Amino acid sequence: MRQPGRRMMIGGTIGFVIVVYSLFVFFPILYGFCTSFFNWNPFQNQFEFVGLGNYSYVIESPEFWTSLKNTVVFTIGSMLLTVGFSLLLAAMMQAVKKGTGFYRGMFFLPVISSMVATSMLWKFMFSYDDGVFNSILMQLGLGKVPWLQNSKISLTVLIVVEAWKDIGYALVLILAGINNIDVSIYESADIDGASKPRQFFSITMPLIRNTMTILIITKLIDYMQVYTPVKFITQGGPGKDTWTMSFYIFEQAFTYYNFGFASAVSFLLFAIIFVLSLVQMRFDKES
Amino acid sequence: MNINKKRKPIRWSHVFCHAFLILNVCAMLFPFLWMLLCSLKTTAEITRIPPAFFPENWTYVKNFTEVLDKYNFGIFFMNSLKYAVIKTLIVLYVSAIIGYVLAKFQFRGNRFVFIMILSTMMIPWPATLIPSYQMMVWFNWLDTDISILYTSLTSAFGVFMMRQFAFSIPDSLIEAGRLDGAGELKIFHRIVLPMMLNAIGALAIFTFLWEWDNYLWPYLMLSDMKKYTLPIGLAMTTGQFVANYGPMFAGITISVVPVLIVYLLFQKTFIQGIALGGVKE
Amino acid sequence: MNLCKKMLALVLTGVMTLSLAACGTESGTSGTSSKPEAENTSAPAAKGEILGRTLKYDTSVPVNNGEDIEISLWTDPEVEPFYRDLAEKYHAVHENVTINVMAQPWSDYWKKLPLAMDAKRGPDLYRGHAGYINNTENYTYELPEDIFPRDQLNEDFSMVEGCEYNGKLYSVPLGMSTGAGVYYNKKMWAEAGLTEADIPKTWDEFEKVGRKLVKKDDKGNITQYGFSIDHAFEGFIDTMNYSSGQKMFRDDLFTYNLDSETTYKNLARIAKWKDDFMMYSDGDAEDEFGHEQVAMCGHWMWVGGYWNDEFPDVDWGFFLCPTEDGEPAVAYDQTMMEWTLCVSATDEAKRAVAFDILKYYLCEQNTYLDHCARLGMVCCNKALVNDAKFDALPNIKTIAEVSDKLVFLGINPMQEARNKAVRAAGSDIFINGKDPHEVIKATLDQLARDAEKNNVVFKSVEPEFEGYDKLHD
Repeated sequence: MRQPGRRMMIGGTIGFVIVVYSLFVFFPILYGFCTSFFNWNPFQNQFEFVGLGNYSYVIESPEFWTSLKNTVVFTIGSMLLTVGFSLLLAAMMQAVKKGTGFYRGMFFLPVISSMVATSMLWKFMFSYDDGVFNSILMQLGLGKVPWLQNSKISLTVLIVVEAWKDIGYALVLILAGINNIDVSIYESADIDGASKPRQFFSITMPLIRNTMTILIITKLIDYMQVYTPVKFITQGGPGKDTWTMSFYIFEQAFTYYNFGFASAVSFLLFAIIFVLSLVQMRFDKES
Repeated sequence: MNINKKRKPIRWSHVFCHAFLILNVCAMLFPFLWMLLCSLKTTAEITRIPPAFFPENWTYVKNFTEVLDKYNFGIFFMNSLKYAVIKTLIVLYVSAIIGYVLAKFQFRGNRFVFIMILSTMMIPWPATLIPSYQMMVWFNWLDTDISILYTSLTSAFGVFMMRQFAFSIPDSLIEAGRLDGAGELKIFHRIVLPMMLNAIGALAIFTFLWEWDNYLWPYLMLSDMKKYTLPIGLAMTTGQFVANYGPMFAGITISVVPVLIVYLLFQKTFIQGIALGGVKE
Repeated sequence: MNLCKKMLALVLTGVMTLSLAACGTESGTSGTSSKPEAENTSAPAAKGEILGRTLKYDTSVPVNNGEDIEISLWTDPEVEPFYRDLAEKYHAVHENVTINVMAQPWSDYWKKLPLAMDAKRGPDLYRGHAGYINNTENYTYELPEDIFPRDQLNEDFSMVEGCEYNGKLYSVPLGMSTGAGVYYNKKMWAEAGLTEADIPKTWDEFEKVGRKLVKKDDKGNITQYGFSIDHAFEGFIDTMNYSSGQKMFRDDLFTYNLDSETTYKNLARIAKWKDDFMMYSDGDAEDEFGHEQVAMCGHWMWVGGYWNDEFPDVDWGFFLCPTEDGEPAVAYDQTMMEWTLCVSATDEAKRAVAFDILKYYLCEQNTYLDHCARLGMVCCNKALVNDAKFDALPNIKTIAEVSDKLVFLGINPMQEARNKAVRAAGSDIFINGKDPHEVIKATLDQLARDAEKNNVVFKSVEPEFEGYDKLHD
């Protein structure tokens, strides 16, 4: 059945893909991986083989573990808040049905706003003395909250900002998934006398499983690499308590300019993300 | 409509839901409101303890004129627009053709290529940053437009979305085209691409936004200030503007509002795109 | 309807972008700074004029055989107007040379510069810095003895050897900066009923003053703090330690002397202030002071120039760091040299022109003066030290008086890493409430390990300080 036209189409396209991806994606990865076994500072002409030295140094650094812990906490927190809250919103919107378009549109606005710009905005809003949140609290007679001056609160702030940005996106995906469900299933549930909330948990949620999986995995990968809000809101502070993995990689890379070391940490991060994704997919298959 | 479903008692739960939803909309949009209010205030008003809520002069546009003029945000805006638009166009086209081929053509290694492309989404970008920089040095692409644009060729997300959507294109149309004697490329351009326009909305806006918001790579690549983009301009303000919050907010507004407006206008196609590009249950 | 909407959107976007573009391109790239253009735009040298005192520059000698050439210069946005001015003046003397001044944001300047230089896409001239020379040395060229005779340099400038790294001279010092004391808001001082006589000489007096300067509203919330060292802690702890008579480095001249009784005593003091009158909020002390949120601040000298430019309404004063017993200290702080320009042009012809530009800059002196005054430092050009431009900076006189009590430590490649680490340590201790001993030990540990891993070697020249024997461990 294959005509030469089709063969050329396939060959041309796939050939293009292979060339471009090999050159611009796989080659840098391989290159990076190789350099992770060296102490590499191009500016001081240092390229010394250390084998697994970089990796062991990372594992022995308290900063690595702090960053990892922060990243994991951030990921889990953001995931729960984003997915949980958007499911809640979706349920509410399903219940009222009217105005869905409007609500969806409004919730989506943060998704398409520039993260760099909004991070700067958030930083200012959470400012201790001249931020709007604290001034509102003061007006209400409550005390000021040290949003960015307390480790736990700082990390929570980052989680909330990330969720703020992503809830709209999750919501749209979930609503799309729900739209694909056959209405007749709900109708028979109604006839059976099932309450709306019950319907949501027993019918809706299981049937949008595929959408949820994609959502969770892509967001997992994104959250583990979070950088922009950290750089523009907390700068890793207070102290090092909001250092995330990407932030750690950049600080290390550009304080000592040891790019081999930065590479090693990056690949460790990759390994962790990979394992987490596998776990997530396995968990999903089982249930 | 089944009259039995519309019973009075349900009203209260509806009211509660609407109230909850509206409250959340207000909470979500509050930062934008604050951004707009602050862009109309003077720096003194912004940094007063406690800060003023409403601007004293609602027509205070000096922040905007200053940031566009003295701080060159007008130039940065045009550059951001240029890169975002060009990159989006390239991503749309390249992803469409790759997605189409992967979805509609059977050949050995089809699944392998797709998994390969998908797996690149998992690579943390710090891992490839320095090697990619080195490559730019070797190709002598530093401080050039192409160093920013070339990543449009390897958008895995684009391929993923387009492939999803391509599945829903009826084979019969494609076959009809072949029977008519049209070449493969012609079929793609005349039949498939127009049909994929719906999915394009979603991919377009995401790609546009990612490039609009891209800070680190353009910062490292560009040394000529005339080529800088908005995020770079904004980042420069945190060292230098630190005293001038008014212009900073104007800068933030300029970075945020245009994309919002375009989205609001094209909302329908956009949402459709995500829905249709979503996963088949 | 759909088509109409789309057309409308396109038209709107088009109009918007056109108007933005019009606004933007009108002024061209006239710099990203809001600072006023350099006021000291003295007339360019008349043809044939000879500039400079000992080191001389003859404007009649052509450069690059009169052929057209372009030179790139990277500097930070703050001082970009001054260098643009320099470029114009030089162009007036040598019309064949065009200098492209490019502002690079400071926070990521040192990420971009070495990468660009390594890629041979770096600038021909750049603003140098002692803290980063170890990574830019490979791309920077020594000042040739024939163009810049050392004895002439030493005649005109002080502390020239402060710009030597590995025995080579890469730049000429711009000014000497230090912390050495505390800045205060004169208006708030008067409002609290304080006078010149109340300027504290001991720590007890300092605490009394700090408490007096706090203002609260009727609900008991603080609206004005007494003191802040936000994002300046890493410098102020050194000021306190030196004023308490402690050496900066241990005997190996490499390990920081922070795990010591004196340090912990000073940390305890700071903790007490935090409870009483000090703001510690992960913000920037210089801005808190400028926005009049705090009455005093401990910081580096450059804040003077910053406030004069950004917050001209704030009337500020300065006093030296208090000591335990009120007697003058043996040493008040370390001192660091700010560098002028370094030459990094890879092309030989451009390099020659770059050296020429540097020489012109040093002999012409006006841009040098502007830059130095903007950074509020003690000028290293011996003739300009008492220039009227520094009159608006009261801290300079006070600091110049104790210049023999400021310690030069040599060029330390660990400086930046140490600053970041100590700043984080401060946040850990005062914001996160961790135990100071643990935090300091962990910080020093990390610095030592990182230094070893990255082969960082350094021997401080602290023992060369005159009062070194009077300092304790």
